[in-house]
Amino acid sequence: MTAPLLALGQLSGEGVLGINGRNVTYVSVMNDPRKMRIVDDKVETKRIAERAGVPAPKQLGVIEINARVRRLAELIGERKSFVVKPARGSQGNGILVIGDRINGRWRTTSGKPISDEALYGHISNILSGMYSLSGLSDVALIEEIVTFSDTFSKVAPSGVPDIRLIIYRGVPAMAMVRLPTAESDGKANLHRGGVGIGVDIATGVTCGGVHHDRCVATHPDTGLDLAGIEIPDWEEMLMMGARCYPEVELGYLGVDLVIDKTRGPLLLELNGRPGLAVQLANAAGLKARLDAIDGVAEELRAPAERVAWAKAAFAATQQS
Amino acid sequence: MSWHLKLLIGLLVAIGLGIFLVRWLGLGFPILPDRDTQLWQIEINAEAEGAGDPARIQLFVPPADGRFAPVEEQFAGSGLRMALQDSESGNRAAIWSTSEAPDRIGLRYRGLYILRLDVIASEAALAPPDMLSEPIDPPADQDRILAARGLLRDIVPSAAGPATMSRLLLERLGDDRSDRSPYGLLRAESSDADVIETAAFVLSLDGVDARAVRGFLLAENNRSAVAISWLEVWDGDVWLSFDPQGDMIDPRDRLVWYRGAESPLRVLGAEESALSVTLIAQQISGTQALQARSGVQREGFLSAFSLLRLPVETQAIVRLLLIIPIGGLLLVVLRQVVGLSTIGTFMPVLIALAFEMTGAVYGVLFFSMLIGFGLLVRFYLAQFHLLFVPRLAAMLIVVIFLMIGVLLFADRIGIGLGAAVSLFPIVVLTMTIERVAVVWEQMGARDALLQAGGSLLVAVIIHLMLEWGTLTHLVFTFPELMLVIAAGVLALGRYSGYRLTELWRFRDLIAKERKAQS
Repeated sequence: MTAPLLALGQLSGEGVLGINGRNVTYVSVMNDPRKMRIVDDKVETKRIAERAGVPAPKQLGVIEINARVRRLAELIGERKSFVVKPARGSQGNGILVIGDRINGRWRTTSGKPISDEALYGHISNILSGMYSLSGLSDVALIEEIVTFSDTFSKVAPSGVPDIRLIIYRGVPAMAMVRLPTAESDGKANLHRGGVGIGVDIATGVTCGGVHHDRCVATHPDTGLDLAGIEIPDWEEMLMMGARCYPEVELGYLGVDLVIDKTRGPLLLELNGRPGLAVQLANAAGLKARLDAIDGVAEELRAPAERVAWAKAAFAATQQS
Repeated sequence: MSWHLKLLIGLLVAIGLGIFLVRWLGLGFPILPDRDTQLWQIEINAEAEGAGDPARIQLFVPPADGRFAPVEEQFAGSGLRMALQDSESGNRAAIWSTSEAPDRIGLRYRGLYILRLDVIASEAALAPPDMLSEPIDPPADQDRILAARGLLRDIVPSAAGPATMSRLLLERLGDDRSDRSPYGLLRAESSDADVIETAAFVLSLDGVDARAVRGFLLAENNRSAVAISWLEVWDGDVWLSFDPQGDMIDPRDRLVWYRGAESPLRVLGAEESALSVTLIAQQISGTQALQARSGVQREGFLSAFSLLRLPVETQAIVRLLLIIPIGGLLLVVLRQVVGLSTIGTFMPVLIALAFEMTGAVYGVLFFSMLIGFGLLVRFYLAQFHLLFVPRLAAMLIVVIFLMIGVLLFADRIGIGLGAAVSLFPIVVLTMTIERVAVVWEQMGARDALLQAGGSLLVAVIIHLMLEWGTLTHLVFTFPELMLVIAAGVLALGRYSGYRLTELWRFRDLIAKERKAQS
């Protein structure tokens, strides 16, 4: 009986945030449900990004009703690659990334062939709400594909790597890179087998990672070191995250970014309920950092001030 | 937690516990279920055809004997006068009479009896014979007495006492019921009742106190109870009971209707036409038992509000309703504090309620079978890319087919679970299959099986808690405890501590901490 109690004490001593703590202390207090609904909608997120002056992948169009499914061709024009997303999807579910068209069939970036019929069926499923959070009907978002920069291509050769920032009251609190694995089918979601890598807020250099809730040092597919990768435009990324905050007014906010080869960092989506695995990736408790931010949040006004404070406060000094 | 919520929680606990304490300690409502008391309802219907004369009808009704006592009685007889008569032999008879000449007489007796299992022997079983009047024997002719004496001569030498003698006698009488039997003269017919009456007669010739008893086996829900006969023999300390085969029996699972060789219904001035008896075990709560035993109907607001005043059928529904909040609280604990993941928020509670009918083992079996087959069909349908609602409707039809299949299967292998299986909430099953399939597609088989298994586990845990009789007794007798449960749910609504499963999830952070300390 004492072992679990001891473990509880250690978790709390480390400042680890649990699901209940996140929901009760942060999400339910800092995040207005109406505003969470807005960020749950990727079409709305695009508008927020525009208002905040944060670049995002170009939106080709929105399919709202089943009768319009076949007008996909008009929206994509001559493109052979594009992304289909449910506007209200969660955790990357229902996202289809088409990379090419070969012999009259589409092909996903992971190489899976898809007939026109199956693609339309997928969009119909999105519209019927199969992937939406509430199960209510949804709309499908057609987006330009992101050409990923090769920052992570050596460690994780395929799929969609992204960068998750935890922005608390406008201040970057913690960050991680999410890399796909063979197991996660090109997606970077950690619960599907993706790898999370902690990032030093001060420098944008990666440290150790997490895979299936275990701390790891190397990528499970390539065996390459996860630590020591320098993320380009790190300062700009932190600024993007900090700039989103005044537009969405969510105190506890997850900002997901990708790096495009030509356009640089782009805002992929916002999340009003970001997960807690980031703590394992950084081998640090989130609660401790959120408490620190609570102490200064009132004084930090401009996004630049917040970013500067965070870089100083959360520098990974103890990392060797 | 805000002071407002704390106040609300405090108030709920104070009111709930306050009423509970007053009713428990002050009014004496029992906190534990009473397993020593059963409640039985006996109904005797008699019919007679009028013969043009003033009629008088005597019907025996079960007497109180210390173990068994009536708490409520109704006598109904189409406009006839009724009087209750206690006879010297300890019997109780209802006598209806009329000075008119009725065409048709319908009589009904309905009595609610409590049976106290903690009383070992009834008063009648201990009362010495001289306290009771001698059983009235039918006038015996000389031949019958001679035959009886002949039988006694055969038995007496090998019999050591009344008990052995009774056994041997009953065996002899039962051995050979043919008319050619030397003892055939003793009996007019060969029914059990006749064997018993004859045995009582023969024994009394030898100076052994013996009497015939008619009554019923206390089997649950005896819609049409059949009267049985047995023999009571005084062995000097106590009345021993023997069945017509000569085996000594424990009369405690029997209800005594009357003692003696008479007919249960005696009709004067009319033709007896029908007599039927039903015997039904009633649901009883500790409080009902308490009231029945003390004979006191408590008055006042706190008891007037008691759910025990409701009809028995309604009580069963309320009982079910009252255990749902417990299931809800358990679900909150298992999800928020333990951290088990389930499919659908309250689905495990609904499954647990369905288990009430099937029992956990068959419940889990049928549930897994239905979900398993449902998933197969669901994956087969996936290739057609059906729209969401039509697909759900198709799955609904599949689930109904599967249920009918399970019903047929259960019937085939002889499990009487038909009605129970159909109580599985069909829509819940359909949605469950859909959710499991979606989780399977999106997160993989592992997550899907984990969540489905988690739901089943939670359902079984909730089911076991609900099966715990003390708990259901408690919430039924003290419905005010609902307020305390509500307070618990509210308190857990702001629980921000770790979940037990997070100790596992963040184990590497704990290990890191340990390393840092050492």
